[in-house]
Amino acid sequence: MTTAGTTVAGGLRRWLEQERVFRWLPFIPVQGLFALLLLPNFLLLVYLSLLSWRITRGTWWNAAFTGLDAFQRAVEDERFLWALARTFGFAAAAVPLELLLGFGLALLCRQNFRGRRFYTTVFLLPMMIVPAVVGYDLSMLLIDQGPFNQVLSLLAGRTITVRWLSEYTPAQLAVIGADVWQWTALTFLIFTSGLAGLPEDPIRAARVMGASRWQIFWHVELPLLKPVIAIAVILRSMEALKIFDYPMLLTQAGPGNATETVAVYLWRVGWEFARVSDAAAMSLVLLVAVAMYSLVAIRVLRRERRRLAEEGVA
Amino acid sequence: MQRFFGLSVAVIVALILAWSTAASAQAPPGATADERAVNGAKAYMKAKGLTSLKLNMMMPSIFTAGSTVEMASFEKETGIGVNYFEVGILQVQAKAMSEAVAKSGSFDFWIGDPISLPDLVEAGLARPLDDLVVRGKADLDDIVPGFQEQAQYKGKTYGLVADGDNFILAIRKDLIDAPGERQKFKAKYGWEPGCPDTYEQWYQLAEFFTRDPKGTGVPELYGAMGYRARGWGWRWWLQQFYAKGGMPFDDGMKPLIAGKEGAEALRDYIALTKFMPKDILGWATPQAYPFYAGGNAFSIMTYPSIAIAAEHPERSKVVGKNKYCLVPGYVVGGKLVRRALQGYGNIFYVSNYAKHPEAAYWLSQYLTSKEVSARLVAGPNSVYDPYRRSHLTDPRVIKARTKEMVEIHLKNAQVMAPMILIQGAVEYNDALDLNVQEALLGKIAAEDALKNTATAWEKITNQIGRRQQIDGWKALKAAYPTKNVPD
Repeated sequence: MTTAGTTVAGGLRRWLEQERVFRWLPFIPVQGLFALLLLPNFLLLVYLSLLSWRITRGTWWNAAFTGLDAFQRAVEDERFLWALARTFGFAAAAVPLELLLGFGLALLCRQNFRGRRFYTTVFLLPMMIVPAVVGYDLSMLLIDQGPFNQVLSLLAGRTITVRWLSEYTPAQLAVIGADVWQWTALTFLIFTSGLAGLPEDPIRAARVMGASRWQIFWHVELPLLKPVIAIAVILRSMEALKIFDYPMLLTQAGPGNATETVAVYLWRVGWEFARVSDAAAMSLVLLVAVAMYSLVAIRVLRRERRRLAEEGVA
Repeated sequence: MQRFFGLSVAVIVALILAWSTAASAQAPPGATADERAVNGAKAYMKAKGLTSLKLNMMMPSIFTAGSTVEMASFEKETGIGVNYFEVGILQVQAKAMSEAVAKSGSFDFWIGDPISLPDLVEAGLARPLDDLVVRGKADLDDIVPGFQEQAQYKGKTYGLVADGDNFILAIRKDLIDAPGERQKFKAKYGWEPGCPDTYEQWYQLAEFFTRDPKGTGVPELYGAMGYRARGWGWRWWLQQFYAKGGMPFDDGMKPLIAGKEGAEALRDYIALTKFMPKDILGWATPQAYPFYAGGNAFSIMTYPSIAIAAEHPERSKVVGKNKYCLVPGYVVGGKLVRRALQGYGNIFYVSNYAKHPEAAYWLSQYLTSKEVSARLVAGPNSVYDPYRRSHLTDPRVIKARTKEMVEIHLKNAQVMAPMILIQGAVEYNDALDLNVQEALLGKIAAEDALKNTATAWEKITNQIGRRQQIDGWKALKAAYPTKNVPD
């Protein structure tokens, strides 16, 4: 029995030590979780999108199978398409700002100055606040005779009453501003880590060759940071495309539909209008759009990594 | 012998079951609805062998402050308390819908508006209460006609009404009576200033009393207030549309809003907005009430609980300075037509998935009974508005709100019109709301806003099923007022 047990244990160890098995071992828990938690939900979502089910019309397992009708309704739904475009617009405005500000702050905190740790902590604080709290607080700060306009009035030396929450463009700017305020902290964190992890040799070599600080930054550091930038872009874009809390709390997605993002509209269609199959189809359309965007970004990331590997700096 | 024994046992068990059912179906003792609710709750606790029980409740956060005292007194008497979780008032529908899918029993009962009722009945969440209403002998006869009907759907009662939310107009009588104002106004507009009969007159009052002496564009006094925010504004337009003699659908569910009446009502609605605070598109009750009570506006068309805020001895700067008015109307075919929209109107609903539906019902009956509802309506933080005839004479209600206000409010109820309460109501109203606001923002013309709404409504009707919607609409039509003006 002991001999048999030893043999089995030995066999198992040898099997685990094989390169091809060991390489895949860390993925087993992830795949397990995926199979258990995400896959059934995803399959259910796909199935629901092929039905014609409203919550007010019996149970989903008895709903009629209508094929791609819900998808057709989704792509013909102007409000959905506008919400989709608006959401991509918000992301296109917010993410570059977050990247620029996060990068700038990370460069600033890379310098040695008094209070650096304090400022690093302060810059990270916003992302630790619950988005709903950010939205609620901003809704108080941004009313037309509220503190934000008062500060602007002080700076401008005249009364400023921008209607941040009740006019089209200012409301959109308020939503973008809320996202930027909260999530610049994340890009700051990513860039701070990226800058700390830069290899010393190429920078030192450039310095020895007489490159200026700007040249080192532009020709050495920035190219080395490209993969980090790509990661920041992917992470923030994917999150920004799900924006929900700020429009709901600041403006109820108004005025009009000025700040109705796709997440808000999906929530309305599914839970307020009870059209679950339509919401499922729309969310799959969104998934495809986000996946295509992510694939492009990941391809860029891979290309940069490959290039850096070929150049021997990563 | 064995067979005879088995049969006897079965008969005895059946008799015991029948007796216990009959006993539990008996009306609880008590001279009033609140006493019966307390006794019913006590009997329930005894039958279940419980000494204390916490019901789970979903409550719009705006209702919490005005509700907890009475819930605590019910707990003291019966052992049945409430764990409530608060939600934004516009999020009730979505939360309830998710419970209709999850069927988790996460809450036993909730406060919601009548708009969500048809959907939540069809989704299987709202429990019919007719059996319990009969058992508890809920004192519904005292309720002003039109309110309790909003808790009914397809001939069944699904809730107990707790709130008479037809709109009221409050204006500042002290400003009208200020030296010289009355004369100046009359000279300009040709009529004695006071409660306006028509929307045109309200516009004139708003124009006259908007005061911006420094010309900054931020008046010291705004002439009018109403709700224009997303999720709210459509109700104020709907009231004006009704007063124009408009109806949302014909008998075949074809939308009727895109005609002349709708466009005129929308243009008037937009025109009046220029006398309102600039941020009005983002305001609802939490912003509007303190603003008016702070003395910043001449008039406000809103829910009747404005009186609680405006007459609050500590919080209001305009105590005793308000005049409460019948809602204005339009002259249609030579006759004045006033319409007061029942613009929210809270109802206590019990969930079909409640762990203790009966206990939830007894608490609901207690809170909506003649006596306890008067205390709720008169409470210093109340947003429950009068809905019973007895509220009209209750000294506590009169003290909190003024006699004039209660009388006018219940007069307005005579011309009370419902919101669109058919299946898909939330979606119909959302489409209307979106387009009304787009017009208000100047993005589209009034006519186009209403045409877009009509197109969206047609789509919704077709998706839900026209035949079914026609039945729902026919039932709702009976709730529209027949009088043009109150007696």
